[in-house]
Amino acid sequence: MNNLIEIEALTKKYEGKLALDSLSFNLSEGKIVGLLGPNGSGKTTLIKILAGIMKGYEGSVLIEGHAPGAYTKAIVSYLPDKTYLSSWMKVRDVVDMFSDFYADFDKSKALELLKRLNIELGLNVSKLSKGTYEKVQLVIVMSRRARLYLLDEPLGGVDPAARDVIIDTILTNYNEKSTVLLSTQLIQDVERVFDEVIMLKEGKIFIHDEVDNIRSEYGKSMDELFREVFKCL
Amino acid sequence: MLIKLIKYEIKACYTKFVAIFSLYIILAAVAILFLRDKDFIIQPFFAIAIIALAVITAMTLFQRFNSNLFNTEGYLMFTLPCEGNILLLSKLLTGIIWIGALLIIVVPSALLAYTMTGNNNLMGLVDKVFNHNGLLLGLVIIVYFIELILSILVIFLSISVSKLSIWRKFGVLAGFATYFIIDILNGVFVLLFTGKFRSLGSIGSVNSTDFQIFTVKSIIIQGTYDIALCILIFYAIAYLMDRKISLK
Amino acid sequence: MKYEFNPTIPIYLQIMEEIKRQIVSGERGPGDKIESVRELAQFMGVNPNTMQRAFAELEREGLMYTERTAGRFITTDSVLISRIKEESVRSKVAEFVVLMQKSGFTKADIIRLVEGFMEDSNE
Repeated sequence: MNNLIEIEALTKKYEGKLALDSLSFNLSEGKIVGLLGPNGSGKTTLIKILAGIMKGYEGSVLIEGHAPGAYTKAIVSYLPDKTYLSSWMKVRDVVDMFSDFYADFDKSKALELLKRLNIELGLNVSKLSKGTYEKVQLVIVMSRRARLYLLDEPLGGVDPAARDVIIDTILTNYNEKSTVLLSTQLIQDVERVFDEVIMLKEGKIFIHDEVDNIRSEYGKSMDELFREVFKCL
Repeated sequence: MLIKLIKYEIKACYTKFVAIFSLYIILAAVAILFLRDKDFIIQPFFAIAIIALAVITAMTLFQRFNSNLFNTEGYLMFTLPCEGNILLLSKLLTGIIWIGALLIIVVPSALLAYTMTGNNNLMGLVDKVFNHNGLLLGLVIIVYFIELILSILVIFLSISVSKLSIWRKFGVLAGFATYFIIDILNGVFVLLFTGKFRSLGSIGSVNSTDFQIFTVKSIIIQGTYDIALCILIFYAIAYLMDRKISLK
Repeated sequence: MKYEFNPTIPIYLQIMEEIKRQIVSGERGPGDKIESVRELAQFMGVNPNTMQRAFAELEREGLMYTERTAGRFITTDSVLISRIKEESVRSKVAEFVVLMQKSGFTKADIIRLVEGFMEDSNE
């Protein structure tokens, strides 16, 4: 199996701080990977670099053999930790726009998911509650048949029921050709779906392994391990 | 991709433009139909209205460039599967469309008002200056237009420069500095070649002495220089967008 | 329905335990067809790769087998199934006996208490 992501000696300085310190790792396709770490550990920086919106780094980042750019943006579906939809749009407009710009966007799937979540297409996005807005963004992102899904803190600020829906959507969306990289601080709810986790500490990889291996070795859940590792910070 | 970007750009703004243009048309119609003999109302009205429309158009254009690309909407725009130069071009072309709409609405109505108030100086002036040389008039209009695009691009560049992370908190200052530096450099360059210092903003203040020095040859040289500068600045902006700017 | 997994133990092991429990209790009979990896993973709310690993291990232990086009099935080997049945309770028996002995009960006490309980619950 070829590696979907190949990262070598990735270093990024940001406003005088070393956000990522010579990171090297590979991810193959067909995996759901958790990216764990406290605030400031470099998770968002890594995801932004993979998404192609953060530039000026040293080292090599390859997605399907290409550096982040127009090619990778067509195969990467990115869910940022921000509200990025234009305020003039209705939910319907968002679906149409993504359908317009992305060849791999599955419009019927998006409409079906929105219906299942009881989200009205005619609503203006700026009038949605935070939870509903995040669901819309997630539906849009997961309705693309992308090779790589980058989800930056998709569970924060969302009620537990919605979290279950989100985790469920990620699972049902799974296919052997795609990989999901999900960064989160709410590990407990979601660690059951991870194949692997990467724990970042101060811009370096602390652990990168299959989750069940970590459980065998440490006898701890990801959540417990995380708390232990980072309790001094 | 480019067409789609322009389509969505227009969708985002058109209600605003339709509103202000409609307002202008209504007021202009009222002015022309009912107040044509009141010079003291007509002239200031049109002067203010046209300036207001131009200012609103310009501000919308630059505010869109800034907020759509560099605020949180940028997370969507910069993850679309295209290069930065296409995004830039879409903003530029949409801006030209708005300016075109502005001109189509403003110019005929202003001319109409002007002639209806019994003034015929303008046509005489133009006639005298260009000596019935349609080619020269046409070229001047084209170069005028190119310089308009150049001004837009320089402001885009200033906005882009202000977003670089090296400035820390002084981005806006850096943006203004960029504009002034380019303006001065451009002016000096033109001064060396033509003996006249022309500021970038001078498009809005063409006067009769300017006209007297235009020849077909000088206009073509001016135009070529402007086009080269446009291309240079365009690619500078695209370079910054693709290589250097990271979103917050 | 989502199963509650203990996150400190490898999930694939817990899946295996659950499937064994279902075999022992009769919820899955010998020769029964098993859902696909994806279906069961979705049902249980786990990663399909984890489910795949559980299936592979169960196959290795002989509790499941794959028929190329037809799918996966529970073994029909009744000897194996009874062994699993006894194995699955062995730890519980051990737990119980150790607990009782620690509390000071003798073998005779234990047998008496067990028989007494079973008679009572039959009423």
